[in-house]
Formats: sequence, structure tokens, C-alpha cells
Amino acid sequence: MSLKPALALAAAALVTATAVFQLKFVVRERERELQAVRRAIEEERWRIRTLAADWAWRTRPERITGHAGRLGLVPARVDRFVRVEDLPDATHLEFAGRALTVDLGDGTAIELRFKPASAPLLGAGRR
Amino acid sequence: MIGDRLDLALAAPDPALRRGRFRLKLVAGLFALLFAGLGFRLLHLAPDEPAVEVAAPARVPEEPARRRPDLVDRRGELLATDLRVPSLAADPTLVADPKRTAERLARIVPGLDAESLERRLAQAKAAGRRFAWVDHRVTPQVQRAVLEAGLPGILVRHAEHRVYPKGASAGHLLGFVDVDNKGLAGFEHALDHGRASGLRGLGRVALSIDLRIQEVVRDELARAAREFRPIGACGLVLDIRTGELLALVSLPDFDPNLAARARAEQRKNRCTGGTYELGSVFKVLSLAAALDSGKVRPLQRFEIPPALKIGRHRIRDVHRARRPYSVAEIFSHSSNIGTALAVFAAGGAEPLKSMLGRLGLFERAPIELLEVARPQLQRNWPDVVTATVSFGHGIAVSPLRFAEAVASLAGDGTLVRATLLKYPEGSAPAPGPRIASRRTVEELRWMMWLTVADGTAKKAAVPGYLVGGKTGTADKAGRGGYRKGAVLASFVGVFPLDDPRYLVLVVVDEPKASAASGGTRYGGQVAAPVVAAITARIGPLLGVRPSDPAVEARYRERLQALKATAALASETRLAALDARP
Repeated sequence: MSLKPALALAAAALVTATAVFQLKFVVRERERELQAVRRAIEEERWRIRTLAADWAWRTRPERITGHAGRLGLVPARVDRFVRVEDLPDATHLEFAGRALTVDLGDGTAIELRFKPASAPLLGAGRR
Repeated sequence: MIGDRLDLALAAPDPALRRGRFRLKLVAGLFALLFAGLGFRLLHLAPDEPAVEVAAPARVPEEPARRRPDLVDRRGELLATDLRVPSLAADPTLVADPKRTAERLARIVPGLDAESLERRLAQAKAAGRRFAWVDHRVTPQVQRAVLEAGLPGILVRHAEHRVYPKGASAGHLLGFVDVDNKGLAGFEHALDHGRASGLRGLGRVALSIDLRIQEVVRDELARAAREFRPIGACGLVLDIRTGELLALVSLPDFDPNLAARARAEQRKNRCTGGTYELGSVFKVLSLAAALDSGKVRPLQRFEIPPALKIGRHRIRDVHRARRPYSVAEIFSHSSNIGTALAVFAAGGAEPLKSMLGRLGLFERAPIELLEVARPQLQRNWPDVVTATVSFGHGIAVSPLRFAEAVASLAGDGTLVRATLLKYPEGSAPAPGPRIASRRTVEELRWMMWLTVADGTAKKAAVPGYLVGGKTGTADKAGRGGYRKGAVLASFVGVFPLDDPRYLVLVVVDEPKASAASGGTRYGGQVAAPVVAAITARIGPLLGVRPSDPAVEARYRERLQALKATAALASETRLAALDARP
């Protein structure tokens, strides 16, 4: 075999060897980074759990009850239930004629208007 | 190179040599190809410069399986979770001066006893042990202070600990774990050993409990406890349609975070772990059995004697009946004698036993908890036992088991099994086997309404809802008989009666009479108002609409009819008395 191809082969071997080592180092570095990220994720997970627990602790019923009183909130009561049919007509009239712009998605917008409910419909609803 | 020299020396080409040269070239060529291939592969492998790939985030494997699942309530409120908490430990062999170390630690860590710590460290050191706990679960502030003190041999270990952020709210049903995160009580125990062990591997488990409801029940029970100073109380709310427990409260309660400091009395789950002779509330079951036999009708009247003699036993009523009672009135006025008579009229022990058996009252409740008591009953059922069982004496069951039984009868008549696990949205358990006919169920509902409208439980009425129920005031058994003055006051309520959905049971153990109960200890005075308060508060939270007035009108009509016949019955009775010489 001639000298030239032999030299070329040797050079190629050298280059590949260097490249392989380079790659090895890079990979090791990456692995280290990956591990650090994994640890950080784990760390964050614990932090999230701790915060979730903290939130749960801060929203415990005794505390909420205390705040509710200060904020003037009152318990729900049976007599506050109202059926839609029992609402006075005023609510139908209040919204009558009010405009509501609806975007259709393709750039066009149309305007919808509330119509006062017709008397027979109301009557049927109220029983 | 050898080939080159050979080439020069021997001009004459030898076919063997030529072949050899060709082979060499071939091998060299192959190697060249191989290296080229490797080179390309290297180029391929070389990392691109912006090495962070953003597109698809790598999936980090889930946390190790040794962790316990988070427990949440039905609305997702966190009830129990694992946290990484610093704990203090020591390598005793590295502790130079146990006495000084213990004293300094005791100054930093609240609640740490210097003497016992010193003793432990010294012992471990003498034994050559290299590990000893100093204090479990310290706050981050304590951890920092310990580290700053720089004590040799003292270590900080981060360990996973079970934390119950809602404190005592659901202590009994959650239970607690030991330092190694093994379940010791309640649902935590069931998660490791019992009926919920299949859920151990999940990330989170949704319980059937609704923390808002739980808190309402706890609040109202605590209010009753302040008023009547009982030794204990139990309150529970059950979804009749699915068997899901929305609340399970036992007083006195404890904070599962500090379970080790709780007294045995506090840790006792009175709803599931204790059995009680519940008394008159049991008439729901015995009269349902009587009605379901078909031999007794709700308006059938029974002459109530002042006392019922069975063998050498005498059964009495608290309030004497002055006229013949219909079954409905026996129920609503809670007559022991009447109940026994109705049960005997329906066939005695057999129908009653069969009903109680079908309801599962002879077995332990299959709930996902550690503390589940086995019912206590008599082996033989002579007539006197049948009579006493019919009004809830001579048989002791856990309040939970009883609640399941009433839910089965007050719902649509099919068996209800209580569970602590939430059914996934939109799914419900398949209906259980039928326990009582639809007709029986309808009659029972009306009788339960009657008890609230015109019976012993007027204090259980809730404006807006049709509520039904049954009161109970049971004498408590002591050594050699029943104790004087010690009672168990209870009320079981069902609402809304037009479409029964929820059952509320309150049991107050040994209440003391107070002004609020009119100086009595009756279930109707002690427990019924608690159930009413709970119902009024949880109904709107659960989105229960006010009851249909038409159903109430129908019930009232039947009540009027009942009153008319009652008046007629007492008139004819008086007439009969007058006619006597």
C-alpha cells in the first residue's frame, strides 16, 4: 500500500478519535445538566406540594368562616332559592332591546338584541 | 509497505502475489470506508448548538411508588398529602458531650425534653449505634437555628411526612400514619391493609366527603355538645342514591397531625367504631318490616295497654297512649308497646329478623375504614327479644350501619351501601337488591313526615324542605341492667321527602338536660334540632331546591284524615266505656 493513503488513514483515525473524546465530554456534561434539571424539577415538585398544602391550610373551614363574617357574607338559605319562572317580568324587560355583539370568527360581527319575552310565554312559564 | 518492497524486488508478477496485493487493497479500502462511516456518524452525533430542545418536553418519570396518594374531598380540597419535612437526627458516636448537646437542642427545639434526649443519646452512644432520632418534623426556622448552632453529630434529615392541612376537620375518617408513613387508623389504614388497598398506587384519591358539609356537621354537633355536655356525639350525612358519605363526624375529635397526643377517647370513631343500642330510631326498621309483611297497614289501629307483659318482663311507654293508635301514630308518637304489638301482628321474630338480615344489620359495615364495629345481638330470639329489638334494645349496631339501613328503606327501597370513595362524575353504583316494596317506602316516608309534623320531632322541621325522621332516646346499658339517667339521644332525618336524597343522622351520647331541651334528654329535644340546623345549612349548599308544596298538601290531607279517624276511634272507645255498667 502506498504512503499517502496510509497517512490519510492515520489522520482520519486521529480526527475520529478526537471527535469521539469530544463527544464523550459533551455527553457527560449534558448528562450532568440533565441530572441537575431532574433534581430541580423534583425540588420544584416538592415546593408545589408544599404550596398546595399551605393553600389547603389557609383555606381550612375555621379560617374561611372567620373571614366570611368579617366580609359580611351570610350562609345560603332555603328561602333564597328562586325559580326562573317566579322571577318578576321586570327582568325580562330590563334586558329588552339591549345589544350584544357576537364575533362570528371569520371577521364578521353581528349584533343580537334581547327581545322582551312575549306575554303568553311568560304566562306559561309562571303557571 | 511490505507490498511495495516486494513489488520492487520481484518484477515478475506472480499470480499469488497479485492476489495478496489485491486482498491488502481490499482490506485497506474496507477500513477507509469504515472510518469514513464512523466520521459521518460522529458528525451526525455532534450536538447542534442550541442544545435545549423546546418542542417536546422530556417526560420526567413520576414520583416513586412508595409515596402515599394525596387524599382530596369530593370537590378537590386537599385533605392529606406527603411533604418533605426536615427532621433532626443524630449520629451518637459523633456527639462529644450528650449533656451539653441535649441542653442546647432543648433550648432551640420547642417541646424537646433535655433529660430524656440526653439519656437516649448516651445510651445509643454506649451501644455504638450510629443513628438516633432527635425530633420529628421541625419547622424550617428550627432547622436553620440547629444548623447555625453547629452541634457536632446532629444531622438534618429530610423525610417525607404525611400532613393533614385541614387539621381536625376530618380527623376520624382520614385517620393517621406512623413515623414511617404506614397507615394506623381510619382511611389511611384501609389504604394500606383494608378495603382501599387497591388505590395505594394512585397519585390522588378522591373521597366522597364534602368538606363544607363536614364542617357544618362538626359545627352544629359542637354547638350541641356545648349545650348538652355529652360524653360524645356522632353526626353523618349520607347520599341516599349513591351511598356516598358526605360527612362523618365524631366528637370529641383530634388533629391527625398530632395524633400521638390525642387521648383514646378522642380517637374513638363513634360513628363506625362503637355499637349502641340506638332505641326508638330502630322503629323505622321494625315498622317497615311489619308494613312490608303485608299483614299490617299504616292506618290499622292497636289498643295500647299501659304495660305489655311478656313472660316475666314488662314493657312500658314513656307517654301512655290514651286512645288506640294507628301504626302511623305508633311511629310518630314512638310507642314501644305499639311497635311490639305491630311486629307481633306481622308475624313476630321471623319477618323482623329477615328484614334486619337483608339490611345487613347482623354484619360489619364494609366501609373503607379501620374502625368498624361488629353488631352485637342476642343468639336466640324469644318473644321478649323480638319485642325489645323492635324498639332498638337488645341489639347494638354502629350508627353508620343503622344509617345505611334507613337509607335503604327511605330511598327507593333498594339496598344502600355506604362508601368513603367518590364515584366518578356521571357514574353511579348499580342499584342494590330490593329490600322493601315501593308501597312500604311511600308509607314510611309519610310516617317519617308525620313524626316531624305532628309527633315527637317537631323541632326537626326545616322551613322550605319536607323533612321526615324518627327520634330515639335509648337507655344506656350498664353493668347488670340499664343505667338510670344515662341515655343516648338520636335523630335520623331524611330530606327532601318528595324525592329523598340525603340522610342526616345525629347521635348524642349521654346528654345532660338543659334549658334548651326543656330540661329533658329526649332525642326530639336534643338531636332533632341539630339535624334541623344541619339540614337548613347543607340543603342550599347541595343545591336542593325547596320541596314541592303539592306533596306537602297531600301529606297534610292524610294527616287530617288520620286525625278524624283518631277522634272517631277515641269517641267510640269512650262510648264503649260509658256503656259499661
